[in-house]
Amino acid sequence: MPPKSPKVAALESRIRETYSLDAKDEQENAIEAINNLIVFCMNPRTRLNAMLQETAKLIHRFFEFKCMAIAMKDPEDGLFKYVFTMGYSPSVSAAYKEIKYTAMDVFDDKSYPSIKISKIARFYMAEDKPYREGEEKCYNRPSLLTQLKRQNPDDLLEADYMNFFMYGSMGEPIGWLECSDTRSGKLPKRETVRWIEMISAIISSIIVERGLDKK
Amino acid sequence: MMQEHLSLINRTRTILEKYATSRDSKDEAVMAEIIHLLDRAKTPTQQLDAFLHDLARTVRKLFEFSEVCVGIRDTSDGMFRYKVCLGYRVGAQEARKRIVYSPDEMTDDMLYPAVQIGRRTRFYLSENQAFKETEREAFNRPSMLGKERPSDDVMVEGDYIDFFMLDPDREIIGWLELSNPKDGKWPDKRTIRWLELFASIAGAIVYEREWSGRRR
Repeated sequence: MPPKSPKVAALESRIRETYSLDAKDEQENAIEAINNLIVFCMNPRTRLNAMLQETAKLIHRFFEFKCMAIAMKDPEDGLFKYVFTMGYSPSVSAAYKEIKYTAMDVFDDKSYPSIKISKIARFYMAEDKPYREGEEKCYNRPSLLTQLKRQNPDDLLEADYMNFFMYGSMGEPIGWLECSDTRSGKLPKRETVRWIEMISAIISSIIVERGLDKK
Repeated sequence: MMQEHLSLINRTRTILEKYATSRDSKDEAVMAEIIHLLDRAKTPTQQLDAFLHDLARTVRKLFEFSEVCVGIRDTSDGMFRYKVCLGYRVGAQEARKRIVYSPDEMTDDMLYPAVQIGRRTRFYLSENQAFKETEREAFNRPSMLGKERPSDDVMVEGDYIDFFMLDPDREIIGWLELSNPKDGKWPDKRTIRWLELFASIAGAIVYEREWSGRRR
């Protein structure tokens, strides 16, 4: 191979500098983390629980939510059960693990009134009491459920939460990511919602491609 | 007081309802397209070829490259071939479809000199002649190959960028190839990072459908 001309060498150097991996902003870091998550999740040795755990960790690390819970449909009995929680006290995590929902429960607007904020995401407002009797123990501070009042329109309250639904190949729900309690105490930014929506779509796609929703 | 509080709650609802409708940043538009692409890929009727076409069309629409190709490794002989070529004249498209790369050729820096610009991304410069003589016809304007670059940040005939699709062992199983941006300029860094994500997502789907033993 003939030696490179100084002009070409300078051009290559400029390309390296322009696309350098060293100086990344937060979004670029998030994209790279999602790339790594994909590689991890497509590995045949990676089990579903590990996939979900890494997904929750990524969302917790890059976005505003402190608490997360992930529910999946159990192919054995068709019921939705929480398989992973993060940011909750041990007793709250245990309470989550006891809950079982049918598909009808999940989208029961009377018990769980919500605002549709995208094709796959719903926001449950504290004022609508989006929980059934007995589910108060699924909150870190159940005593605050009815006491706290929204002071500003962009406040996020103890009982506010969001669900990002994951769907199977026939459009049937296979699970959801539940996010609550932002670090700022404010509603998440709309862009944050889009990021988590995209992550849910990627993860559910890998789950479906790997047939993990049927095992 | 009660009325005031109700009005505040309604303002919260309005903020949230707007989440579903407004979309103003480029990043949000890219994310929305990724969601739609995956939605379509999930349907049992979308076979791999259709997914690869969908991928190429989505990328072309979002990032405004005139030329987009997708190639994958063939499970029958382990060789790499173009499957989709968008934005090429018929002759160039046919020439591309005839090209067969061996796994060694895919990463041969002597044959296809490139600048590594990401873990899975390579930028090929026209000045380095990153093509075999027999591949000249695979370009839209072969007569423009080797012409002087008017300025450093302009992409010319013979420049292209490859985004590799990897399997869990990080072996190449396919690639997304882009050239000739509509504004004639090098794409920005964020575009490169998004395209890496597209390649990564496509890699997961290609791997599952072609290499994991769970072929649809």
